[in-house]
Amino acid sequence: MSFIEYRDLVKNGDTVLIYLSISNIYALKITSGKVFQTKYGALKHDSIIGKRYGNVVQCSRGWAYVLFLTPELWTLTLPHRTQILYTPDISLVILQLDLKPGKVVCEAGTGSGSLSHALARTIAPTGQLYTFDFHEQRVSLAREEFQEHGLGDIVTVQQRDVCAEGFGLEDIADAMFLDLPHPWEAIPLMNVSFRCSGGRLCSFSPCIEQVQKTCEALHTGGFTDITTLECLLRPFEVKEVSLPHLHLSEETLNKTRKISLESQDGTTDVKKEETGKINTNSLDDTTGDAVSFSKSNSKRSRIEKSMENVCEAEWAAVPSLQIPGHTGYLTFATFTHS
Amino acid sequence: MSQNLTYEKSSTNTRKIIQEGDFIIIRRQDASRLVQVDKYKAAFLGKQKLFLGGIIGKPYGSSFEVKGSDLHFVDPAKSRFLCSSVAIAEAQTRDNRFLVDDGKSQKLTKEQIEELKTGGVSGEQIVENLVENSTTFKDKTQYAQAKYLKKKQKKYINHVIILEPTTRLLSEMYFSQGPLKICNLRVDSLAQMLAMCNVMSRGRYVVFDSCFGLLTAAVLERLGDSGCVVQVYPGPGPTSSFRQAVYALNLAQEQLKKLLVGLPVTEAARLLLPPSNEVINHDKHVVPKITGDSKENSVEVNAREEAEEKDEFTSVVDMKDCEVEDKYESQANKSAKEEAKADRKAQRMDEQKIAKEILAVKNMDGLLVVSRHHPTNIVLTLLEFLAPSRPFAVFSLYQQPLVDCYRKLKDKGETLFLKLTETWLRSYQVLPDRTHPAINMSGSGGYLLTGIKVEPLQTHKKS
Repeated sequence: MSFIEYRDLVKNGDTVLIYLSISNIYALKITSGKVFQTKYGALKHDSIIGKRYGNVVQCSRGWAYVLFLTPELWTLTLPHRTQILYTPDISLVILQLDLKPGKVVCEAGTGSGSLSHALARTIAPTGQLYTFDFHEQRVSLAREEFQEHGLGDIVTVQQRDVCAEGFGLEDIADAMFLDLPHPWEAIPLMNVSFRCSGGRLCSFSPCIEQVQKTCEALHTGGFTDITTLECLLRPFEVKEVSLPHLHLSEETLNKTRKISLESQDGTTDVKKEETGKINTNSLDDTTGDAVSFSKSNSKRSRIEKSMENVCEAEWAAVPSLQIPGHTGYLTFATFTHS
Repeated sequence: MSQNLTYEKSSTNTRKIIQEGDFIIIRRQDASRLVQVDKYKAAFLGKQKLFLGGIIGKPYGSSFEVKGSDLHFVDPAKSRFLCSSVAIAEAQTRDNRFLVDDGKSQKLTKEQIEELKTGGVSGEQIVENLVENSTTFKDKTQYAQAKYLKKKQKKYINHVIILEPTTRLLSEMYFSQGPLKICNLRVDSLAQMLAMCNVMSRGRYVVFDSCFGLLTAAVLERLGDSGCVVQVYPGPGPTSSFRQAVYALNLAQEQLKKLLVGLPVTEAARLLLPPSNEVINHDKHVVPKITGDSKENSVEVNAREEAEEKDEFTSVVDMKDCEVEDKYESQANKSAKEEAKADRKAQRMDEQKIAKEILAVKNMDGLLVVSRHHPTNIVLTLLEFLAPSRPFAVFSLYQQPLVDCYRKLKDKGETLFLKLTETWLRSYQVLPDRTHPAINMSGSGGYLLTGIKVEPLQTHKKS
């Protein structure tokens, strides 16, 4: 399986995305003979092999979709070993670093490899990604993943403390990405790694104090075009909404007045008659579920009902009530050798 | 702690040189412009007339000082100093309580400054002189001093930088010239589209583009030298500027031919009609004017093309001189033009033929749409050409059309991960003790509908 070349049919050994529902998605390595337990029952790996990507596969008590794994889907399902970057930031990083096939990128640190997959996809098949992390286990896990995902030729991963030692590469990089606690310590070590045509650098930091120091280091280091950006995703839920109108015409106002006068009389017969009329006016008995039945005969609710009218439902994009408010600041800069 | 890697240094490790005929981006302060290098023709940056002879042979990324209408190479170290000298100022201690705007703070008179300018004194020296002769400069706060310097430098030091066009720079340029020209497709939205559609080398993408070819260019840039883009356009013929941003990438003609083909959306839609209609279609693209729907249609095509010839390279690539010449062009010139026009038409027909063959397989890898038309029909039609398990992204300046599109796609039941989103982009001023979000920001970068196409559920029902 390879992240960098589409394939139509699932093969034994592919890592695929299994989609049960939007909140139940799994990256799954297909191994003949194995069984994957889902909330819809057992899913035999053998029943997936040979299927076309994008098709339905049968579980014992339902079905699932099998999808081709892209870096963006991998970001949603990968095992977290660290905090990861998500697609809104990743996509901006790739565009702002001017990445395209053939480019050489240096990354520190590798973390869980969320960004690395997207970088590798963009620079493939002729580019190179050198990625470093000071954590030994993370390095070896990431290396295995890159190999398994067909990125072995494009990605080189190594244990290294880039903050202290720089990249250890000379005259090679078109772009650099730093996700380090003290990027300002690493920046003076970066110059030698850029190729002679220069290149772009991005530093990701969650805190503004880090950004402050980073920008100073970039100025001192002769970088130009220094910009700091913040990019947030605002998702919308698309749904049907219906808000009943309040009718405030003269006619309605007269009617409500009548109701209040009648209830003062206390004549129950008239009350019933009027209620019927009001209901036909409001078209739908279910208007305002909130008004409980026991209250429905009260004066107040009758007046309210006589003023309301069910409107047609509209489709609307409703912003999510709670969203991530901060991920990190992205500082970009251009390096030119003098 | 760790060993250095062994690696191969790049063999092509040289700086790219500016050449005659290249498309370049000229950038000055916050304004930038796309022009084609022609040493005999003036380019315009705002009102400034520029002759580009001086930049040929210099590396991309170089700075030049504007003297008259000519450009003079500036040493990189010097230009970098100028860039950063303004930006960094120490923490402020003074305040502005003694400053009075009486118009007397500058001891140099207008005439003296003019004299300096015409006397061939460099911009930097003029600014130095101004500072020396300003009675209030030393009383200003550090911040105000920096601001003063920046203002004066802007006025007297006229530097431009020449850059090689990339998606980032093109996007920045078009957006700064007027976001509505490119449907408010802000750089972050464009970036999301490319990522969500998994655009990569060797992929085959359907692109519907109403923004000067910016989206098409962005996809092409990520293809490297293999893959393909079918650029779908509304109307019977493309607009003259439909590939403006594509040409800006300076790709070789053969490479472009290999990677990019165009097709009217109506022709794409025809591919989906039942086979009985197919036969008529087939004739149509061989001799497009004789057969086809009606005479009216072909007249329309002609009129449109006529109009297009005139505004070739509109607005961004400034070619005012060129238009003047047009009026006096000789007969020979005219017939050459006719020929070029016929050539273009033949090429367009070739492209259409190839595009249809590519689409007919219905095995495309992604769909990207930025449209001035309502997206729903475009998306429903073009989605048919995608292989299952392939992503798509639809951009709109407005939210409501995407809500409609969302519903139609939901009803159809052939998509997963359907999401309506927008991104919020904020830039920051980062300076010692003066860091804050930029005073002005773009209110919206447009909306995005993304998803993944799958095979429809027909026989499978949830048990």
